[in-house]
Amino acid sequence: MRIGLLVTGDISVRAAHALQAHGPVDEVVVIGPATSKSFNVMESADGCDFLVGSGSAAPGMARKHGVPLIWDGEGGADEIAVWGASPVGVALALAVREPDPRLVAVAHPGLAEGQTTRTTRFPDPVGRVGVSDGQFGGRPVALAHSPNEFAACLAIGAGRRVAVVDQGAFMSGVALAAGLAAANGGSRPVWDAALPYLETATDMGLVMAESR
Amino acid sequence: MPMKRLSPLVVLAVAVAAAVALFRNSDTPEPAEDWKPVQPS
Repeated sequence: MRIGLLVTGDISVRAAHALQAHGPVDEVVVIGPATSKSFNVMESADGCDFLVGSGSAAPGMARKHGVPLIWDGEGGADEIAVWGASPVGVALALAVREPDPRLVAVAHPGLAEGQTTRTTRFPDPVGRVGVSDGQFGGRPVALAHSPNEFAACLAIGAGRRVAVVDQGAFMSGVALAAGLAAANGGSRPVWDAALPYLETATDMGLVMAESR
Repeated sequence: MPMKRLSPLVVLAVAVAAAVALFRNSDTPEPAEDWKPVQPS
């Protein structure tokens, strides 16, 4: 399998490194114009099975190349194979696997510091922080600005709390890369394939923990 | 000129708001949580 990296910033580069070490991927190339010390640079996406990109510019670039996109943004479209491949998607995937999810929350240093309505306790080193109620893909999720470089995804179910904690930028890269596991030929969010998505994310280095 | 007295309700509301703010900002230690690594299932 060949993956094309769209030049869309630090998160997609981190995802490319995670994918390069991922078994089913034969090669990761950068779709230029660009320079890279780690990857071959190609002028077109011909021969790529998927593109990986982050942010609002990625879908338009994928449409231009005509290759399906693994994306961290919100919403499906013809050119998007998998969406929500982000820490928020990780949290929603955690919640999908719980029998009675009561709270889904994400704290990340990249999230904006907005008006908070209450506090939620994340595992250390994030700790208790103010959260605001948001939605992603039509699902409720509490969002928080992490006070340090670490990010945490949290799902609270009836019998346990499940979390993923890691350095925020690393988590964003792996969350995007692991989206490949959710690709099925259509356009869907990562939580529609929650188990393979989480298994791939943990294979790529994220650590999942529970507290009862 | 006589000072206008505050309504008891206003005084109560201010006191409650101050107490809530103090509680929210308190650095009360919380019990440690016991997190154990687990595989997705």
